[in-house]
Amino acid sequence: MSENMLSYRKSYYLYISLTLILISYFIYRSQAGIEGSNGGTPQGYILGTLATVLVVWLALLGVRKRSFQSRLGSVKAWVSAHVYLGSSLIVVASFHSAFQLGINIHSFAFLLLLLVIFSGFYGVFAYIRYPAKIVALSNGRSGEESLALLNSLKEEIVATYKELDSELQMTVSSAIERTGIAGSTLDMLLARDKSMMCLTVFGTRVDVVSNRAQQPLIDFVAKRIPRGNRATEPELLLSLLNLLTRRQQLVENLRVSLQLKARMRVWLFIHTPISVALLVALTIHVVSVFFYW
Amino acid sequence: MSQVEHFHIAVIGAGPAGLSAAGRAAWYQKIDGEADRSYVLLEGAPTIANTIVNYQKGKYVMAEPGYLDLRSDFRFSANSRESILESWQATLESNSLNIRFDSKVTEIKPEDGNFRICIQGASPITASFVVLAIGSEGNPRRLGVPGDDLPLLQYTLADASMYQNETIVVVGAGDSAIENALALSASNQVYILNRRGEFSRAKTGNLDAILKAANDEGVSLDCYYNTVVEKVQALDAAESSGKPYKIEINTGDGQKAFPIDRIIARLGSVPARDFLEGMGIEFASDNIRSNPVMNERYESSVPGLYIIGSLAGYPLIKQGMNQGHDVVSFIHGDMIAPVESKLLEKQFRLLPFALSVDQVTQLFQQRTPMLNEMNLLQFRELIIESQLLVCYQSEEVYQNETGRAASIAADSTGSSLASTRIMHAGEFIFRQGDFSSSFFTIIEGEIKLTLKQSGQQIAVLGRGQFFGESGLLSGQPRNCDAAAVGDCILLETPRRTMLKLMNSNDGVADGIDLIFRVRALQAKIAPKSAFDELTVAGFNTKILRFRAGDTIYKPGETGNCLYIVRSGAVVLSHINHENKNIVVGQFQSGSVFGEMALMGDLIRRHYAVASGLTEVIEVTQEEFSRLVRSDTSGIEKLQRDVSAKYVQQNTLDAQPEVGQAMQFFMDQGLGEATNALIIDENLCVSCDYCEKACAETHNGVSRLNRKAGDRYAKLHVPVSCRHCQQPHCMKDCPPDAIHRAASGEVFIDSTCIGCGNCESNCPYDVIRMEYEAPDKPPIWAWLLFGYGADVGEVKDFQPDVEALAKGKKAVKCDACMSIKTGPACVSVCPTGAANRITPDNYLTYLQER
Ligand SMILES: Cc1cc2nc3c(=O)[nH]c(=O)nc-3n(C[C@H](O)[C@H](O)[C@H](O)COP(=O)(O)OP(=O)(O)OC[C@H]3O[C@@H](n4cnc5c(N)ncnc54)[C@H](O)[C@@H]3O)c2cc1C
Ligand code: HEM
Ligand code: SF4
Ligand code: SF4
Repeated sequence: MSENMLSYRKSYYLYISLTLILISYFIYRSQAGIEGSNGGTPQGYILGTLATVLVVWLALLGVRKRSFQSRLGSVKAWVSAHVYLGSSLIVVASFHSAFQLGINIHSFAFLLLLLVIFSGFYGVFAYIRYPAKIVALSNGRSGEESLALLNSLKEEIVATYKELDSELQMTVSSAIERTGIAGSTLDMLLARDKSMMCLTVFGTRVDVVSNRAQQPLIDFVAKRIPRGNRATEPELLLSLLNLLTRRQQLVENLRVSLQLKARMRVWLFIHTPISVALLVALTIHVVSVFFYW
Repeated sequence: MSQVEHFHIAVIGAGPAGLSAAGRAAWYQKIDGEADRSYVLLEGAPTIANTIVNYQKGKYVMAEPGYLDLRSDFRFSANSRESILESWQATLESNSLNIRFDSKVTEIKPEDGNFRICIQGASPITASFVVLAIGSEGNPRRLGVPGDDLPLLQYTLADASMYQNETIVVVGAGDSAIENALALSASNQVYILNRRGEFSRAKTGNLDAILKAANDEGVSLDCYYNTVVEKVQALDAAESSGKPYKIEINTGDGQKAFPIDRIIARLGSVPARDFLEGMGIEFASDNIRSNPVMNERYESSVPGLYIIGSLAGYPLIKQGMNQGHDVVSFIHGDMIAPVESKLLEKQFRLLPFALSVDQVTQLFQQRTPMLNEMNLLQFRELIIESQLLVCYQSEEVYQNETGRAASIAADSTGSSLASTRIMHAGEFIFRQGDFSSSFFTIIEGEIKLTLKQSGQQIAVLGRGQFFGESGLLSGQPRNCDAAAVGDCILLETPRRTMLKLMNSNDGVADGIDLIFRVRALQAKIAPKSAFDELTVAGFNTKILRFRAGDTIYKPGETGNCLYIVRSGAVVLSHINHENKNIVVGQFQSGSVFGEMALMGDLIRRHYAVASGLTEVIEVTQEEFSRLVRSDTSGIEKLQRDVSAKYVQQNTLDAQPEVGQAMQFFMDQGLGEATNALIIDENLCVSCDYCEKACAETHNGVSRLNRKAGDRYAKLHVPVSCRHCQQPHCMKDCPPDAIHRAASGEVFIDSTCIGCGNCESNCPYDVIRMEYEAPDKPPIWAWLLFGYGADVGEVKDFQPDVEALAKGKKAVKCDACMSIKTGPACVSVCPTGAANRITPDNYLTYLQER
C-alpha cells in the first residue's frame, strides 16, 4: 500500500509524539500534588512553553508550504510530523492547564486549540480516504475526459430523440439542459442536486419539475416504452433509456466526486483561520499571564 | 526566338542568405564593372524572406550565435520581425538590387558550361554560377486538384485576425492545420478536412482542442473525416451565396459542394532534398538528417553550384548572411578568410605552441585520423563549437597558463564562445554517472579511463584516439571516470556538433560506431580481451534499428544471438496463464538481453519489443563463444546476471499487476525517460501545489500540467518532462539552446530564439511557448488584503511590455536543477503522491505501492 501521512517513515513521528506525551506526563506528575498543579508552577511553565512552541511550529506549516526553495525537508515529512505532534497537543496542553477550565481567555485559547486539532483529524481522514474513492468513481478518466464523455453521451441522446415525438424531445432536452452538477461550494459539499426538467401535464400545461438523480426522467422514458405508438418506437426508446441510464451513472459519480473534492478542501477553511485565531488568543493568554498575574 | 537572358551569378531564394549574397554581388558590380559582374536574385514568393514573413506577427528575432560577428551588406541585429523585414526591404531598394519576385525556380540544369534555370511562369535564364539559398522549409505540398492554382488557395497563415466572416476550408490533419483552424474559427465559419478517420498525427493538446471545438455548437468549426477535395471552382459574382468560389469534396459518404472564400492547405512540405538530388547534388548519406556535400567554399558536388543558409545545414540567420557575403567573394576569386577564422585564432591562443592558425589546423589534422577525414569547413565548425582542454602535469606551468587565460579573458569582451580550459593532469574530465554527452578527441598526450568505485583501470588512450562515444550515442550516463595521465590536449565537442558531423561524414560515423561496439563488447562480454581481437568481433556484430512497438523476437524462436541495447529501451513480456500481457523485464541502453538463449535455455520465452526508437547490437552465438573462450573473465558476471534475471522474471510473473503497470509505463514512453514524474492517485488530494511550486520556482510559469496525462491503476503520468535519454527536443534547436546537465536534467538556456521546434519535436507535449510572466506582489499582500495573487501561475497573465518585446520563449521542466533539495513539485507535495522516479526504480516503486 502507498505510504500515507500516517505511515510515513514507519510512523516515525508517532513515536516522537508518544515520547513527548510521556515526558510531559512525568513533568506534570512531578508537580507537588494534583491539587497544587496548575499553569503557574515551574512545571506548568515548562509545559506551557512546550505547547506554545509546538503551536507556533505547527502554524509554520503554512509558511513551509509556500517556501518553495526551502531546504527544511519535504512538506510530506512536515505534514506527517504536523499530524502527530499536533495531536499530542491535546495531552500536552491539558497537562499544562492541569484540567482547570473556566470562562476566560485562557480556556478560550484551549477551545480554539481543540477546534483546530479536531478539524485536523477530519482533514487527515479526508486526505487518506477520499483520493482512492474519487479514482474509483472516475473509472480512470481525468476530469476533462469525463466531461468529454458527458458531452458525447449528450450528442448520442440528441441524435436518438430527434426521431421521437416532440413532447418527448422537449422533456429529454430540457432535462439535459437543466442538469445541475457543480453549483456553489455549498451545493457541491452537500451534493445538492438542483436538476430539473419540463413535463407536459394534462396535454397542454408545461411544468418544471425536479429531476433529482435523473431518476424522474428515466422513469418517464421507461413508462413510454410499453405505450409506443409506432412499431420502431420501442427500439428507439430502449436505446434512449440505455443512454440516459449511462448518463445518470456518470452525472451521479461526478457529483459525488465533486462532493469529495470539496470536502478535501473545505476543512482547511476552518483549520487555517482558526489556527490564526488561536495564535492571537495564545498571544493574549501569554501576555496576560505575565503582566496581570 | 529571343536570346536567353544570361547572368554571371544567379542567386535563388531571397531569404537572409540569398539577400546577403545578392547584396555582395551588387557591391562588386558597383566597385568594378569591368569583368562580368551581372547577377539576379530569384524569389518564388511575392516578398523577400518568406520564412521570416511567416513567423508569428511581432516575433522577436534573435541574433544567435552571440560570438559570431555579422559580415553582410544587409544589417541584422536582434529585433522584431517587422523592423528586420523593413530594414532589409529598405536596403534592397536603396541598393536597387536586381530581384525578381514570384519567380519560383523549378529546375536547374548544367548546359554548355552554364546553368539553365527554369522559372515558373517566365522564360528560362542561364547563369555561370548558381547560389542556392532556398532554405530548408521545403515547398508546401500542393493540393493537386483542378483549380489548385486559383488565388483562394494559400499554404500559410500569418495572421488569423486578417480574416473576418469568411467561409474557410482548412485542409490537413497536422498541428499547423488544427492551430490555423482554431484561430480562424474565432470569427469565421471554418471546415477542417481530414483525409483520414482521425487526427492521429496531432499533439494531444491540439487534438483535445479540435475535438472540443468540433463538438461545441458555439464554435463555428466543423470536421470532415475521410474526406478529400475533388475540385475548386470560381463562381460568378452574380451567384446568390455571394462567395467567390465553390469547393467540391468527397466525404466518403458521397459528394458535397458548397461556396467558400478561402482554402488553407496545410499538407506538410516536399523536402528540399528531392529538389537538390534532382540536380545531381550529392548528400553525405541516406540519413534524412544529412546535409549536401560541400567544400569550404560552399560549393556542392556540382561544380559552379553553391549552397548556403539553412539549406546547407546552417540553421541561423547570421550564419546564412555571412555565407552569402563570402560565397560571392569566392565566386569572384576573392579568397577572403571567413569570419570564423578569427574565432579559431582565439581558440588556439592558449595552446602551448607558437604556431599560426593554419599550422595548428594542419597539426590537428595530422594527429587525428578522424579530423583528417573532414574538409576545412567541417573542421572549422567542429573546432569553433568545441572546447579545448589543456592539461598540465607541472603546477608551475599550470599556474602560469591559468594566469594567461585570465588575462586573455579580461581583454576579450562579450564573446560567449566556449573557450580553452586549463586543467591539472589527473583532474577528472568526467566522472562515472555524469550525464554529459560531449565527445572527446585526444590531440596530444594520454587519457586513463577507470571505474569510479574500484579504481580499476579500463583503458589508456593515446593521441588520435577518442572517447565519450557511449554518452553520445546511447544517452546513458558516463560509465567510467576519465583523467589525463600527463600533459595532454583534448578537444571536447558538444553532442549536437558531433551528430551533425556524423550525419555529414560517413567516415567519422563509421569510426565512432565501431569503437562503440568494441567498447560495448569489452564492457559486457570480454573485459580482458586484446583490442585487436575485440575490433574483429566488433566488425562482425550488426546494428539493428527498431521503431516503437516493433518486435525483436518472439516466444518459441530459437535464440542464436544476444543483444546489447545501444539506444532506446527494450521490454520483455509474455502472455501469462490468464492470457494477459505481463512485463517481466525492461532494458535501457547499455544493458544486455537475449543472452539467456546462449547460456542454458535455447528457446526464447518472451516477446522482446522496442519501446521508442531503439538500436541494438546483435552478437551472434559464434562471436559470443569465440570471445568468452579466449577471455573467461566476463562469463562469471554474465551467468550471475542470468540467474538474477530468472528470479526477477518469475517474481514479476507472480505479481501480474506490477507487470501490467510496467506495461503502462512503457506505453507512456517512460522507457526512454531518465527521470519521470509519477503521481500516486491513492494519495493525490488535487491541491495543485506541485504546479504552484513549479510556477513559483520558475518565474511564474508552470512547466507541469497536473491534470493532463494518462492514468492506469491509480497511477498518473502527468504532462511533465521525462528528461529523455536522447531528448527529441534537442534535435532541431537552431541555436543549440537545449542541454543536458551532468546530473541529467535537460534544460533550455537563454539563447532560445522561440522558433517552436522543440515544442513540436517533444512527443510528450511538455514544452510550452510562453511570455515571461510579470512579477507578482508578495504573497502576504494577497493573504491580508487580496492584492496580487495566490502562489502559482496566474491564469491568462498579461505579459508586460518588456516581455512582449522579448517574445515567447520555450519553457520546460529543468527538474529544479538549481534547487538543492531537488524538484519542488515533489518536495512540496503534502501527501507524498508526487515522485520523480528513475527507470531503475520503476520496479521497486511499483512493487512497494
Ligand atoms: C519560427 C521560426 C523562428 C526562427 N527564429 C529565428 C531567430 O530568432 N533567429 C535566427 O537566427 N534564426 C531563426 N530561425 C531560423 C531562420 O529563419 C533560418 O535560419 C533562416 O530563415 C534561413 O535563411 P535562408 O536564407 O537560408 O532560407 P529562408 O529564410 O528559408 O529563405 C528561403 C527563400 O527562398 C525562397 N524559395 C524557396 N524555394 C524557392 C524556389 N524554388 N525558387 C525561388 N525561391 C525559392 C523562399 O520563398 C524563401 O524566401 C527561425 C526559424 C523558424 C521557423
Ligand atoms: C494547534 C495545532 C495546529 C495548528 C496551529 C495547525 C496549523 C496548520 C496550518 C497553518 C496549516 C497550513 C494550511 C495551509 O496553509 O493550507 C495546517 C495544515 C494541515 N494540518 Fe494543521 N495545525 C494544527 C494541528 C493539526 C492536527 C492535530 C492535525 C491532524 C491530526 C493537522 C492536520 C493538518 C493537515 C492534514 C494539514 C494539511 C496539509 C496540506 O494540505 O498541505 N493539524 N495546519
Ligand atoms: S521538477 Fe521542478 S520544474 Fe519539473 S515539474 Fe516539478 S517543480 Fe516543475
Ligand atoms: S522536453 Fe520532451 S523530448 Fe525533451 S527531454 Fe523532455 S520529454 Fe524528452
